Parts: sequence; structure tokens; C-alpha cells
Amino acid sequence: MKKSALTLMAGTMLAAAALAENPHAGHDAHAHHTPMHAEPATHGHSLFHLDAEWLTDRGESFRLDDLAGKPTVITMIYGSCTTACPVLVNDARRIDRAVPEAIRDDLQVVIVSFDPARDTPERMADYAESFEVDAERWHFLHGDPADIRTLAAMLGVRYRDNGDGSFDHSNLITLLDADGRVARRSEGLARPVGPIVEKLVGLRASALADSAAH
Amino acid sequence: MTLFKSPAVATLTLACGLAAGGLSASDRLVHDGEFMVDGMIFGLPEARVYTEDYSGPPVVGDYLTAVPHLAELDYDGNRTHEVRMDVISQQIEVAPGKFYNAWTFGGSVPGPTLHVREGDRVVFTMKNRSDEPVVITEPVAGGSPFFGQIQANPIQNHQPAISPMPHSMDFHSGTVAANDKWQTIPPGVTIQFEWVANYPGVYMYHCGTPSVLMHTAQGQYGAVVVSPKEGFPVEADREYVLVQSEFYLTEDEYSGGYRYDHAAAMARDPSQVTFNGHVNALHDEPLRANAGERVRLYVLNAGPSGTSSFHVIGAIFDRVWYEGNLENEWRGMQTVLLGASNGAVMDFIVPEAGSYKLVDHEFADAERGAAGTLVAGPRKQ
Amino acid sequence: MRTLLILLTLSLPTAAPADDNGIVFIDGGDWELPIVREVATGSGRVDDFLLDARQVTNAEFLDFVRAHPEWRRDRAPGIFRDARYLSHWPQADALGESNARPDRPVTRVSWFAARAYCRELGGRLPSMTEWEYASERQRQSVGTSPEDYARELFSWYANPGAGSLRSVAEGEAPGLGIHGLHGLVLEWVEDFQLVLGRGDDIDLLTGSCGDTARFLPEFDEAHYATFLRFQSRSNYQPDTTTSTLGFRCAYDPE
Repeated sequence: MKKSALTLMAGTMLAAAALAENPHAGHDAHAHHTPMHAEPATHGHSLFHLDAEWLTDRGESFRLDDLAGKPTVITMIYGSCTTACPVLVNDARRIDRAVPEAIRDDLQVVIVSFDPARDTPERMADYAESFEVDAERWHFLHGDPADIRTLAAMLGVRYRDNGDGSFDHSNLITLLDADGRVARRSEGLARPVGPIVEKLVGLRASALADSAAH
Repeated sequence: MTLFKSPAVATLTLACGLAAGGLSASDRLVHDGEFMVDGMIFGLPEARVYTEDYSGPPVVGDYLTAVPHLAELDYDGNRTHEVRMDVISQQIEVAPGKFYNAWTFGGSVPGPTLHVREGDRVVFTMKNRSDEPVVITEPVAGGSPFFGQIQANPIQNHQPAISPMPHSMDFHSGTVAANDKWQTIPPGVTIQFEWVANYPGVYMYHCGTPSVLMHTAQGQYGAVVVSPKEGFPVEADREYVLVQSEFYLTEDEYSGGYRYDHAAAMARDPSQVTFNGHVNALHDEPLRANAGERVRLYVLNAGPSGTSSFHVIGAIFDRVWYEGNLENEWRGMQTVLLGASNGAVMDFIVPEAGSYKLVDHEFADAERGAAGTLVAGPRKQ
Repeated sequence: MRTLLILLTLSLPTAAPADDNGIVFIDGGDWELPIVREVATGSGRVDDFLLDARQVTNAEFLDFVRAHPEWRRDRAPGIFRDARYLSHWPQADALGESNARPDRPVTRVSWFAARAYCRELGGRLPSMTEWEYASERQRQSVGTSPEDYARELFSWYANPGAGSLRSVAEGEAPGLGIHGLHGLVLEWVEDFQLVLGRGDDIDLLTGSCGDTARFLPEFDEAHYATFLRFQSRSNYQPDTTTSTLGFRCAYDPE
């Protein structure tokens, strides 16, 4: 009896020592899986470096750096897509509704179409209306095919124009911080809104702390 | 290299295993989202892909060795290993005068052998350095035992090369979502992820980037030995790692060396089949033992496509643990059939002093290089 | 076989020889990329287009960088390029020896940088389809057999000659008047990322272990060599730069 108790103690101590040595206890489990991430956050990685002119669903001229100063949720879809794209827009809307009101007032949502030929600003306006969102903060963008390709590349969205009005594309919702840098990515459809909402709250907290410090 | 497992270490390991079983299972979980099934850990966090300014040794970790060496597990119970194996291009020789620009992990073909214990956690880092020249034949500070062993026996005549390509890592010893952790990274980028050795075995690792046939035939593979947590039922006197693989090389009319021959690879017609990466690897530096000793071979058939009918001429395998799992014990086997990426732990007792040939008994392979020697001295009293 | 090749060559639409600007006019035609995609889409038609006869050189890219200093390696934002962008030049705005010589293909350029260059010239990167179409037309014009083509490509994969690249245009341009589509550097195209569908899921990573056979209509060396070009390039990121990756521009006809 005594010997096995000793063995048990020795084992426990050794095991405890092994656990204590583990340098990764408490490691951030939500580490990103993104090809453009994990360098020290610098303005060098801001999407606002994209020098392009877009048209909104209200027919107004728009540049990505118009978004500076506030966070943005951005995704890419096309109007004729009846399966994945409505879900993506709805996911953006679910995020919009899930954030605390104080944050929502500052949140911008940008929906960019892959399909400028068919998704004219007028068509985008109809599309926007069908989703019943806050028109002040939501922007549905029409652009030049080359700029669309550039933006997709900066976000990490892969797509293919099949030439017949359909596009194969990956499903991605991205949160940009106030400086236009990727803060969080959510891949897939009907994903939980928690991670992006949590990050938004975090961004707001650091922004407030920064301004308080000055 | 001689490895001994003393009875005391074995008992203590057993005791710790029992004691650890008495601890809360959740103590072994580290990150949010991890969970256990049957005592095994799943649900590991997503891989991290990033850029780092790293130009240090391409192989880091104390339990990484060059074939045929196997690092000793000089600790009890489980631990977390920090392991790095960078992808580098390297010109290597597989037979006298037959050299080509290989794609490798760590600079050798096969790559370094990692030894861990069942239940260990590995934090793995890999940088794609295929677009920079990396030398492995000079002393390295902070690198693995691998380097000293390569430098003691540079049979592959390693020379740095540049061949920018995307690459990835697939550890057969890890149970993970491949689309996450085995993902491909471009040159200059680093990936880091964790895996837990849930099962014992002799596992292949290899690059999983298409075309996998070409990436493997080019040299990106090696072995992870996961020793059973309770240890083996008998002690071995000698332990060696042996990786069989095929090469599909043809003369390269443009550069004067050799290059990958895709037609030959698709036709399963290798130019060489080797143990440990060179037709003479186990002849120039034969394995050693003495009569009466128990030799334990950790054998992996890395393919990419062939099978191996592994046999030691003059010996019979006293015990074979197929796939290195104690549940899969066979006795008295003359030959062990290994499919592409199968491994096994094979024990034989050296009957007499003399010379023992190890072969792939598919003689079309043996006569293309799949042969080696174990030299046995007289019985030690 | 040779007679058949000659007949085929004669019956194909020809391309005009390279003009003084080194740009070749490529007649369009019915054509499909030599890889299988899960759904047969589109008309399989390539429209007429213009293609640079050779890759963009260090000298040309230097002119661009001088005119657009926001693309200097010490100023270009990190989102548009990786740490090795133009690292082979001795200085951010000066050329040098070996691979940094003026007439060498510019390498260590990201997809973003290549596009910006072409856009500045009133052009664009060729699409994957256009580039491969030009490659096949060129091979047909020269009479390169699939086996020779595969051999040259596999030799390049084995030995990309990264240490000492050749000049972009050595001697007369063969065939359609295009230099060095194979065997010098890998080239960026506009839509370089393969997209693979899995039912409703679009595979973000597009092709991993086990997917090779899905892309190949035939398992011969030539198809394999071509596929390797697609797959390897598709595994790069738009900000990736390597010592064996350059580009040439395409233009739409007036």
C-alpha cells in the first residue's frame, strides 16, 4: 500500500512538473489562419492602400479610405447568386445586429459585387433594399473588374468568373479596423458571429483607451 | 549508436503512466476547444501562417536525428516538443555520381527522424526556405543532433540549391484537419501548428502539396517514431531507423546532373530504391551489433509508390509490431510487407557473428539499391 | 506525324511577327485550358489579344519604380509585397550584375506590383487562358512535341537556374515571335488562383494532397508539367515574390 502511494505521489509530482513546463498553457486558441496576417500590425497592411474609385448603390463615388476612422465589416458577393451570397449578406447583418448599440453606430458594412456588368448601382440599390439595413452605414459597391480582383486578393477571397454570369467564390467576411487592416476573418457560411463581435468590442476598448491616454 | 532502456526507467515510466491516468484528463488539454476521446486529444487550434525573419538552423529540437539514429527519450511521461524543420532545396547524391536538386525537410533525404512518446505534444514550425541557399554541412549552433550526425557521415554530398516552390507538411503521426495544418505555404512564409501523438507507431511525414507524387519523389519525407507510452515488453540492445524510398531520376540534358522523371514515376519504374537515401548508405556505414543481441529496427516505407518486402538475410523477426503498435504483435516473421507509408517495429536476435544483409526482398528493388548490411561481432559475455 | 504537324500549323490562325515594341498580336480561337474543372463552363473561346514578346526586364521595371516611387522596395506597402520584393537589386533604385542586370527578366515582383506595372502601360496581366493559349500556339508554330515540352519544363523545375537567369530575348524570337515562355521564369497571370468546388463548398485552399488527378484530363508528362505550373503558382499568395517568378503584359486590341 505504502509503495503504491509513493509511486502515485511521485507520478503526480512529475506530471505536475511536466504541465508546469508547458510554455503554451493559456495560448490564444483563436490564433488566425490567414495568409496575410501575424506580422506586427503596421499601416503597411491597410486595405486603404487600394487606390480605386467605386460607385455606391446611391450612385455616389466612393474610396476605401472613406472608411478610415471606424471599423468595417466587408464581404464580396454577386447579385445573381441565389445560394451562398444571400447567406453572406445575412451573416453581415447578424453581426451588425449583434454588436452593442454604441459600437453599431460606428460600424460600417461594405458589400462588394464580383459582377459589375450586371450589378450596376441601380441593381445594387434594389439588392440593398431587399435586406432592410441601415443605409447610412451600409455601402453596396460597384467597381472596375481589375479593382475587384485587387480587393479580393487583398482580402484573400478567391473567385472565378465563369463568363456566364455565375462566379465561383470563397465565402469570407472580414473585419477591418479603423485603419483598414484585417482584424479578423470569418470563413464559410452561417458562421457564429461571436468572434467578430468580440473583436469589435476589443477594438473599441483599445480605441477608447488610446484616446483616454491622450 | 547504442540505446539502453534500464529496468528502473521502464518501471518509473510505467508508474508515471498509471499515476497520470489517475489525474484529471482535462489537465492535458492546453487550448480552448481541445477535447478528449478515449484518452486522446483532438480539436487542436488552427495553424498560424506568418512571416518571420529567421535564418537560423533549419532543424531545431533535441529529438531530431539523422537516419539511422534514433534519439533517446530521456524523460518520463509526456512533454511538449518545440520542433522546427524548414523546407530547403539541396543537391544530394543517391548513388555514386547520381545527384539531383532535391526538395527536402532539413536538407537530407529522408529528412530528420523525430522521436517522441505516445501522448506527447509537438509544436511544429516550418519556414519555406526553398528560395534561399542553406548549408547543412557546417557546424550549427542551436541545431539538432541531426547536424553533427550528417556531418559525421555526409554520404549524400549535400550542397545548397535554390528551387522556389510552394510546400506543406503532412505528419501521418498527427490527427488534424489537413486543410488547416497541412496547408501549403509559398517561399518566405512560415507555418506553425500543434499536434499530439495520439497513437504509437513509425510514421511517415511528407509534403502534401500537389503533385504529391513529385514532391515526395523529390525527397520531402522522413519518419516520426512515436514510442508506446508503456514502452516495449522487451528491451532492445540496438535500435536503428531505416527508411526505404524510391527515386525516379533521369539525366538532365540541360544541366548535366539528374532530374525527376515523371514518366518513370507514373510507370512505377524507379531508377534507385534505397534505404536511408543512398544505395550505399547501409553498406559504407553498416549497422552494428553483436551475436545474441536484440536489434530493433524502426522501418518506414516512404514510397512514394512502391511496397517493401523487408527481410534480414539469416535472421527471423522474433517480434514485429506492425505500425509500431503493441496491439499488432506478430511472432516469427521472415519478411514484413510494408505498403507505401506503412511502418513497423521489427526485432530480431542476432544469431552469430557475421554479416547480415537487409533487403527489400522484391529483388527488382534490392538490385536497384534497397539493400544494406548489419555487421555482427562475437557474443559479448 | 510531322506532315500532320505542318498541316496543322498552316491551318492555324497565324500571329503577326513582333513589332518594334516587342508586342505580338495573337488571333483568338476556340480553345479550352488543358485542365479539367469540375463544371464545363464558358464558350471555350479566346478573344484576340496582344502579348509582350518577352518578359518585363529589370530596366523596364526600374523605369516604372522611378516614375512611381510608391512602388520602390523601401516604400511599397507590406500588403502589396513580401519582404524579398526586388531584393536582388543592389539598391532600391539601381541595377547591377548577374540577375540584377538590365536585360534580365525582373523577378522578385509580387502579383500586385506586376499588375500595377502593366496597368501603367495601358495593359494588364494576361489571363491564365490567354497565356496558355499563347504557349500552345507557340509550341505548335515551332513544332515542339509534347514530350520535348515536358522535358524542358521538368528540367526547369529541377534546375530553375535561379542563380543566373538568361536575358529575356536571346536571338531571333521563334515561332509566333514570342521569347522564353518556358524555361526562363514562371510568369504571373491575372487569375492565377485555381478554384476547386466541393459541392456547395468552394475550397479556399484549392488543391491539396489527393487533388491532382481531378485536374488532369490526361496523365501524360505534358499535361502534368502544365498542371504543375498552375498548381505551384496557385499556391502562391498575391504578395509572394520569388527569384524565378516574373511576368509579361497583355493588351486588348484597339
